[in-house]
Amino acid sequence: MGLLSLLIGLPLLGMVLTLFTPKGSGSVAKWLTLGVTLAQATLFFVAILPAYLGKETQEAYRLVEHLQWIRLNLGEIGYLNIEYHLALDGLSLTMVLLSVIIFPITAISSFRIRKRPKAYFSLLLLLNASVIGVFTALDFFLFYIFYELMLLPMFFLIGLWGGVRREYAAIKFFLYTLFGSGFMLLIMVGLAFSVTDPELSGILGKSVYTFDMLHMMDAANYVKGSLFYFDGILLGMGSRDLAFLVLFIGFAIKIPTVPLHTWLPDAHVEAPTAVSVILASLLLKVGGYGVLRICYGIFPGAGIQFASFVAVLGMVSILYGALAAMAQKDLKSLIAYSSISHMGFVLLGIASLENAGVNGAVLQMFNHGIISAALFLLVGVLYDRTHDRRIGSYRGLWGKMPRYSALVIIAFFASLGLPGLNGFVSEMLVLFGAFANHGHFGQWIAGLSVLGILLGAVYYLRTFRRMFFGSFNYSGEGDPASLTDLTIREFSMLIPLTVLMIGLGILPFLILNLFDGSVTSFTEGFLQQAAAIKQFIP
Amino acid sequence: MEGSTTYSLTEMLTRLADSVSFILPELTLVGTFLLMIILELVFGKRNRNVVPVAGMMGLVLTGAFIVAFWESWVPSQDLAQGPKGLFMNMIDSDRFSRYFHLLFDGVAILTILVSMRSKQLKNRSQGLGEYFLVLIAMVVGMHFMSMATNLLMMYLALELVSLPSYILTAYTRLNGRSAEAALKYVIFGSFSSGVMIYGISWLYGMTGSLDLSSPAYVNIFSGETDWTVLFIVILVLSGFIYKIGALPFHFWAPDVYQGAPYPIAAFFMVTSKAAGFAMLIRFLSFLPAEGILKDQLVIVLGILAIATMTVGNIAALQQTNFRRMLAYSSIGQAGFILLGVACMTVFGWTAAVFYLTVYVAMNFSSFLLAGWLNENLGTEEIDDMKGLAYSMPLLGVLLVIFLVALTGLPPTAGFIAKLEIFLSGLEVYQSQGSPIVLTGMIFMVINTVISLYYYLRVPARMIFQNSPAKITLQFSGLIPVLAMVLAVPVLWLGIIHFDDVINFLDILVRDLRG
Repeated sequence: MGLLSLLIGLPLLGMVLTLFTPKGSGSVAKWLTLGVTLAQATLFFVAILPAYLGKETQEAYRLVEHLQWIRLNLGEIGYLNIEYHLALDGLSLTMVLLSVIIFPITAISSFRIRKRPKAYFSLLLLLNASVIGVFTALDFFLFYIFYELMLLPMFFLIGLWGGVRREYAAIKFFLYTLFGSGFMLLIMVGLAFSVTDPELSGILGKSVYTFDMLHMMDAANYVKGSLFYFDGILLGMGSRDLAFLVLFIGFAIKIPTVPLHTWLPDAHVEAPTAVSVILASLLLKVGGYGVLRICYGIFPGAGIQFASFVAVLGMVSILYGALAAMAQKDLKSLIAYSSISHMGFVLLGIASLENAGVNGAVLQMFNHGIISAALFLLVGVLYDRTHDRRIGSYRGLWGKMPRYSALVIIAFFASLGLPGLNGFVSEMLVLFGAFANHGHFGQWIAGLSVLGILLGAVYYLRTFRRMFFGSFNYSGEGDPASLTDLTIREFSMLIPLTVLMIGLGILPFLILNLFDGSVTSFTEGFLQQAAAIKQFIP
Repeated sequence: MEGSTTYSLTEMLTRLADSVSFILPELTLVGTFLLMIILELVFGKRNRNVVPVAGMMGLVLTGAFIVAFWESWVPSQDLAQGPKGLFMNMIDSDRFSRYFHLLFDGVAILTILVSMRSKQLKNRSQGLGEYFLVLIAMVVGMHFMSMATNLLMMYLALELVSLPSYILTAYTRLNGRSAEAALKYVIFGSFSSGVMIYGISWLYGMTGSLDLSSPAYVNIFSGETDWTVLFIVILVLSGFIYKIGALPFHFWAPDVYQGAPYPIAAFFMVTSKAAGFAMLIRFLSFLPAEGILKDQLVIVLGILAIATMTVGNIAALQQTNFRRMLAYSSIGQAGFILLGVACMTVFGWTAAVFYLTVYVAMNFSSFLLAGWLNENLGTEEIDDMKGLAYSMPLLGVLLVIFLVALTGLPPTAGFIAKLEIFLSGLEVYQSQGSPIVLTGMIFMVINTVISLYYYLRVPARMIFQNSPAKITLQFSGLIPVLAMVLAVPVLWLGIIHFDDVINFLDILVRDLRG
């Protein structure tokens, strides 16, 4: 069993163990979950990261696990092959790193779950396994299985442990994502029928159609005359352009991009804190990861063609998210909208197709994962005490909860992009890339996006002033006496995140070095691929 | 080489004598039927269990024969020797039909088991002796439905299934719903079989033969654009369409599935639909590969598939009764399967057969669970299921598994079934460019999203909301065990080994002629 399989298998094993703990032993479940997630993190830092970095050879995908899984015999047409294919490159390594940091924190954050803890922690572990699976799978079919597998635990986590309108929010979340992924399935099947595995075809003597993404990324493997061959036409437009758009919409729902974002505030507001954290820091990244790995990786030509479309969507998300955040009265939905705004930078960076921009986009995904986790945890701290998240209820919290306030202001500043904190680095890189894009889209898009940072400063600083400055006053229904400063448990979650925010603000290359090589070869390879494809088009 | 060769009398007699050995399973069933009549007369009043147990043993024996003599169902090169063209081209007892027979027999055994335990059946009817007899007669009809290669045989087999269906639907006639459902069933059944036999009479008039393998049929089926032939074939198809519960002959389905006693409704829902599809696929396999008729039928069946899945799913959206929702959703599922059939390729038919196999497991068990709820909780309204998962976690888990499978999400076999339909559809689109199949697939995605909404409502009510009253019900008995057993293949085939099953079915479908 390879290291990556072990990384996915650990939480699954933990889930089974959790399910078999005796009735009424909720505390066993939570310690077990924490143990499993810490073991996962240890495995990552002790074995996987050194193994990845220590490789002498510079192959793009490392720690590869490649096993034959499913082979359908299609008679005279050939075979259809599905493989168990896991590997890491810089992009997936960064995402897995983020996951193994976030999951132990969410386990700690869930310690106070009283309602059916066994079910809760098993679902959390199932979600954990599927998220890692999505980030490491290189076979489209396998990717899709993990992608859909994330939905069910998320559905139940929101629906069962959420707020008042939890059922509505859970179903809305599920419907939105399935709408995107249903069409993704169609494209996936079409791709499988357009791409053959050259080696296996040679061995078996018949064409072997494959779901392997690496084969899909290579223009030479496309079968002439197939649906997604470079001159294919589907529904009146280039089939590859259409496929790009369909996949893009699927992932844009996940990111989420305006105007497909309306499930997110509902899901966030209703979800319990830990689930919000996972949603914001990991599940949204699945969208960005999918756009980069699948949309752009498999359809580079369409990626160039739709660069301005993607960039405009990014810009609109940045501005709309920020404007909507300004209007929120609920602290959690403010942060949810600011998430939409910040994830817009990811799209903008990817659309630039420029080294700095794409690097910035990946870094922004990582940074947003850290910052939004901290922000949602900080909201959770208040909510735990008073069950009240309205901004207007609080005044002068600084005097009452100084340590809490200090952490809040660091997180706010990191999120709004103060130099010296991590959010600044990635947003700057994205904007550099967006301004320097090779004529793929107008610079006014980048120019307008800068406004997003400005607006971010407005809503964060205004919120901070309202809630933390002045003399203490609490006007909600909760008990003001319950507003005590952070406990040790809460510190243990927030300190690592805060350290990362400051540390990566000063030393961003710690993370950048992990994926810089992959991104560079991605952007270069991308332009080469796009040029190579041109020669196939009549 | 096949078809209308005229045999001499001796040849005919040898051929008939040879044929008899190939229908050993059916003879076993008929023997069981006769034995059950005698047993009913002798033991009927004293011991209620003798007749159903005899029926189950007969079914087990039938299944055992099918498996034991599996090699003899393999078609041989010489048509006069093998299992094809039996009784002067009346039936083909090839592996394709035998596979379906195993499904029918298996489901029938489970249905008898469930019926024996059903309090509802016991309370609302006067004796169950005939019930089991009629059930066996219906299974015989299904066996012949999937084997028939002659139009008359098809019609007779169809009626042999339909007439017992009417009786069984009305079995709890003291219940108003049951009687109403049976009447609707009779009216729609007679109408569509009337239309079918009208079409058959036309075909007979044009060809002078009822044997689909005769050259006369190749001639008219492969002729140039002839709208009359298309029209007549559509008339004949109406019989199949009625059986599979597709548009426009679907109106009986919700009432029958809701009104009939639940074990029998579950039985109809899966087996008579599977039998209808088996007969439809066999009929279509006789169409010559060239010729405009095949392309026309792709369009006709494709449109029917789209209409069926859309109407079924949208109607299911508005249901508040769990059983009725499943009934409408089964119409939607029929639309998905029909799209696979409409591909008119081996690949598409394999996909349809795989879908049917999965459909049998997931629909039968979720319907039985609905029946269990009805019998023990006294209600099937989705709103009355609030908080049930807390007192019966296993029920919640099972329903989640089956409903997720019905939606078609990984990691369940329901997902693989949908994926297969997509694969075959895209293969057809890529090789022949038929836009209707592509449209069908797009509708399938949209319908999947729609179906998610109403399927999810059930676990959402059960799990996300608290029950208003304390429920002290034990989730135990036969149905929970059956559902647990059936959940295993539904999950198993969602992750591994589904390629083996599909490759196996592919071989079976290739047994068909054409």
